[in-house]
Amino acid sequence: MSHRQTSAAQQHTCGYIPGEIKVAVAIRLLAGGSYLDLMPLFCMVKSSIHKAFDQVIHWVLCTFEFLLPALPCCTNLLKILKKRVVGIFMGVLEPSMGLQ
Amino acid sequence: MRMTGPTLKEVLDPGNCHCRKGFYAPNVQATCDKHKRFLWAHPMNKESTHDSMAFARTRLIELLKEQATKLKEQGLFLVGDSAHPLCSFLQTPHDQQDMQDDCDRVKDAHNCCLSANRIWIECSFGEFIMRWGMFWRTLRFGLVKNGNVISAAMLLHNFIVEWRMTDKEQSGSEKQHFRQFTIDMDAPSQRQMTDLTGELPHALVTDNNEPKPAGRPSMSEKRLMEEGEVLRNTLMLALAKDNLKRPKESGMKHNN
Repeated sequence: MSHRQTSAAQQHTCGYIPGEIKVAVAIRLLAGGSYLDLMPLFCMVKSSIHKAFDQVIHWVLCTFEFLLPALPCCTNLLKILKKRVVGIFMGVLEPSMGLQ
Repeated sequence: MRMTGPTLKEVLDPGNCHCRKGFYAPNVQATCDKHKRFLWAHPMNKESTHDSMAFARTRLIELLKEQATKLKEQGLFLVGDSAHPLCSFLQTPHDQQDMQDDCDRVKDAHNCCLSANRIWIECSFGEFIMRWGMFWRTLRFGLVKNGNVISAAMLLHNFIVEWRMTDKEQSGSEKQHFRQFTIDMDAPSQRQMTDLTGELPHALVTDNNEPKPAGRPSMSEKRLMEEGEVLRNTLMLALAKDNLKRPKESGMKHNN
């Protein structure tokens, strides 16, 4: 992140906070950071931090996707799954599990 | 993964989101590969939903059912724990009841191999929780946002794993980090969060290995189950042919 962009975020920007700053804030929150730490660090108010977090979550969900449900046809399914064969059994794809 | 109790506006039955371990939690169904990347996840299930039911309601199982014949031809299948149903595309371990007549220990060998393959999903969830400190404490968003945050964190986890695969140095340092993982309770940020939430950080991963509840399967499910049993027997025979058994304790290597 360049110094210019950081400085830009540290001023009152009327909502124009660079995407890189928003990503930096969201990653820090995901990693367990407190918004109280981030407020002085990025000179952002609490509501902007929460807004930036929501926005970055939306960006991530729009940009990346899980492989399996996105598969359009059988050829791709077999092709992609075959590359992920794991373990002692030749045919095993991947383990599946539920977590609470 | 703990979360605050959902409101009546979000769900009609908030009590169903409470788990038997005494806290509110979502039921996350996921599939991963050997690099610990999540290939699929469905984090929006209610806690009281049984794993088999949660899995049965997803798009993935529909896709797998559609392609069951082709997957069978290619000899490809998923591995699940005993909570999931046995199908031609999903192998599960033998029940304890089945194990009683296992004189040759072939079923035990089969269970051992399945367990060795299932370790990847355990490690994936472990890494995922250790990586994102947000999940060390109760998630305080709404039900939908909790699901979105979990999905986004899983996708970012995949991104980091893919990047790690290209950088051996980074891979080594990450491995080291996860092996020696501890939460520094005295770190200023952790102390601040503890003061704010009144809750100590706890990297909690619990799975639900209860067996699938009894129910009447449909004709197609019955056929898939029969095919699954045939596949299970084929795998057992292959293991017996190669004389593969569960390693004895004397031959095991223990971590220090």
